Amino acid sequence: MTIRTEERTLHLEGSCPVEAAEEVLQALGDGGIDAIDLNDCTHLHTAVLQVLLHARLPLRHMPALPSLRAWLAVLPNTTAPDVKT
Amino acid sequence: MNDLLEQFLLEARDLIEEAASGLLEIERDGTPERMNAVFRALHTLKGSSGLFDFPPLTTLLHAAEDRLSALCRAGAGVSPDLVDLLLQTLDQTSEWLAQIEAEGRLPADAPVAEARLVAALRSGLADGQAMGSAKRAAMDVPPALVAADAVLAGLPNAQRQAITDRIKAGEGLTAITYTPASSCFFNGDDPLGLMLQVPEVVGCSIAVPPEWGGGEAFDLFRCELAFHALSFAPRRELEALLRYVLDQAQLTEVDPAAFAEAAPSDPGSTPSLSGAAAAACAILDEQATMLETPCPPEALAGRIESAAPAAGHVLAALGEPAEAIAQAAAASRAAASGGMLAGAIRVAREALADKALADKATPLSPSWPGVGRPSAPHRRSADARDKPGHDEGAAPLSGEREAPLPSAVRPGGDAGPPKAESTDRGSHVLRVDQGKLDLLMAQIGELVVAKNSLPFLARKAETTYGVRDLARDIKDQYAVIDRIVQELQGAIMSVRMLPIGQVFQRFPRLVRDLSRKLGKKVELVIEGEDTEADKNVIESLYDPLLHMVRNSLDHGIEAPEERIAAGKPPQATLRLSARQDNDQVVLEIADDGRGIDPAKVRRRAYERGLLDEAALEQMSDRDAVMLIFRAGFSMADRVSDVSGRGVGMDVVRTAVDQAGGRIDVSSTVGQGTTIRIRLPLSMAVSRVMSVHVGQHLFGVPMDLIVETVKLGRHALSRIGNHDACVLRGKVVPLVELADLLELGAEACAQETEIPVLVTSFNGQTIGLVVSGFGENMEVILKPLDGVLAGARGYAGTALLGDGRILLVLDPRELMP
Repeated sequence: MTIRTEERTLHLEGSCPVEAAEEVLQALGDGGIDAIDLNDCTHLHTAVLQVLLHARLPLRHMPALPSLRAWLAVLPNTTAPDVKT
Repeated sequence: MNDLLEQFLLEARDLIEEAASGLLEIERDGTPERMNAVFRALHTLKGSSGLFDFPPLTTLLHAAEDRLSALCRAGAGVSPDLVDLLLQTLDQTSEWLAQIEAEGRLPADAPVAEARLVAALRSGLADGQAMGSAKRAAMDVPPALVAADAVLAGLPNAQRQAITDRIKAGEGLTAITYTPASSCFFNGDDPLGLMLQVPEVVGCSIAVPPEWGGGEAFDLFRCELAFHALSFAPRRELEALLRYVLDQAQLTEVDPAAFAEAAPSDPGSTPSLSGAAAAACAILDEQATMLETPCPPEALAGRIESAAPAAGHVLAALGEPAEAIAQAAAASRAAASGGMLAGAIRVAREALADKALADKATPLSPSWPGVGRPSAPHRRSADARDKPGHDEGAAPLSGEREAPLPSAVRPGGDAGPPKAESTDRGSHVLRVDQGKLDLLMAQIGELVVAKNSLPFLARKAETTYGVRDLARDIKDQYAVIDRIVQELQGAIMSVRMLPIGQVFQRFPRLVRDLSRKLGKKVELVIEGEDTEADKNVIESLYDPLLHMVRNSLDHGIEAPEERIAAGKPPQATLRLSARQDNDQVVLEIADDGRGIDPAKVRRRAYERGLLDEAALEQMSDRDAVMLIFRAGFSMADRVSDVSGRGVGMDVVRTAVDQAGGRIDVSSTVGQGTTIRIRLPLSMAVSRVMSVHVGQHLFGVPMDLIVETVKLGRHALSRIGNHDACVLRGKVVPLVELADLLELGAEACAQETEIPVLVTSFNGQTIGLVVSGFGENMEVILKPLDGVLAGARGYAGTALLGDGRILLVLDPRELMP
């Protein structure tokens, strides 16, 4: 799992376990982030998803995994929904 | 090790005990009521284990919990084999916990053991599970619309049409509403992960609490989401997937007719209510109807109690005022009639319906596709829906499961029962590291010693400085301090006191396992488990008791046939009892087995070369029976894995000796054996008697002293190299304490009367010749440490009030 901020976008990559929730919340709380990128995310723990839902930040990229994408439709999806190639 | 893990390990042990004793009780009495307690214990254990990264542990406990929950639902009895299996699971868990405590991780072979046990637990589960869920389904009110609607709202028309077509083609669509417990993260659950595994999902949505406006603080660790999914997968398959969370999830077949209604091909064009409002209205209708249905007065209270929060939930979740409901509920309660509440609910329902129709034009949550207000009430409704389903049974159930109205209305206030319970327990019991208590006790010990110096100071004031008034004042002050210190001592002792039941409760399991193994029928009777003793004493008890119980089962108690032949009932009774006797705890292990035959013991002792013939001849039967406590003695002809290695009873005596106790056996051939152990209540304060040997002062533990006598010279006789005397018809060998301590011959001067301290230990009576007797005192005994640690013959040291050090002897180690 990697959590990094790049160009005011929080990138969640790999499998984000429950422990990531706190880190994500922290990162969002610090400010300076106005979008989420889940392109390389393989799994989101519910707790992490909850943090994202609560933050209501737009999503730059949906995860590549179709199953995960279907469920993540709840995330505000303001920009291109397609997978980055 | 972090605090959390430490706490978990502590709690886990208790929970394992609880589960194990519950299982044994279920097996013995066949009482399914205990099942819930066992289930709860396992559930909590599994839940807490999920906080840490020990997957095999959590998986194993999960499997055990499943097995139990299937049993609970099926209401089936428990076979001894299943109890064996569950106990094995608990054993494995304890073993792992010990390993985690020692090394911070599970053993390398844990996954293997886990797989084996899980396979065993899962086999035979399928039947029970299917039965259970069939029952469940029958009880459920179909909430298909709730999930279907929530999901469909977010679907494009084409997809919705495709689903409708498949349903029309006869495929079964199952709606899943999964509202994870708010504490589910602590159980190691990942609801999204679980939902991702749902096969053949055609539509899904996640409901977010309506009050999330953004910006407000929220609890990261509470799961506030709810999940809806529609799946064409067979119901059985879905149930298998969701088996761990069946209490939080609802599976419903979607009725094609209802579906068509709930999924208008062009939403917005029909004036019917959709989504939340429809579900809410349905729930409110249900509540009102339930209240209006005639029922016996005693059931009415229950209905009101369940309808009011349910309606309250729904309204609160939709952001509607719920005060009117609460008021009406109070009025209904007072009037013992459901009419008022039903009326209020109907009014609220109409208001809601009107409002929803009016709102139809404007989407409720424009920025949140598929989430937000419309879906939130479904989550509440899932809770509320349980209630009317139970009808009459709702009153006690709702009392147990739901918080009262005010907190239940609070969004997400419905924490699961296990959590609520653990906080309850936590508020009354404080777990403290024993080291801290030991420190406290050591300091109080110091205080006792410091306090004891005051009388010396008073004497000094009087004799050395000649101020008698000051001396008197010091003595007065001493009396005050003395009283406080005594209370303090009593308080710390009582903190350290634990009920003996803590040790006893391990035995039902042991007796069960052993008697099964040995093919004997034994009933274990436990008495006086509330008797309290110091923690150290309690802990020192387990090993001796274990050996004695094993011996009793192996040697004492006969096989059923033998018992019948002897005219006894086939089931033997083993009685473990404890009681307090002054400042001692008396423990008895009594069986009604074959008893100990003194002649046989003598013979065996002779064969093993423990004693010569002459000594055995002289020995009374009672003393002969005591031989079973000699090292190397065993009555068994062969070594079994139960006992017979000739170490057991020796261990018992050593342990009891170390704890400052005494052991005694009485046995009647053919009728049984009773072993009695006396232990001091507390080992913190020892009673010693001080004796003078020449210029030196020594302490001798009081419990070894039989009596003090002063003998005239004429009473001494010389047998071989030793002096001896005759006391109450028995020959007592005399030993000069000065010789034993190698203090030189200065002691025993040519006095007319010789002070003799008659002591008894290791089954023999010995007279210690001293120069004079001092006083009895209570001291805090400190073991020798540092370079003196290995010195034999000393039990420890104690500080006297005047600052001198009293060496306390251990005559057992002094004897050559």
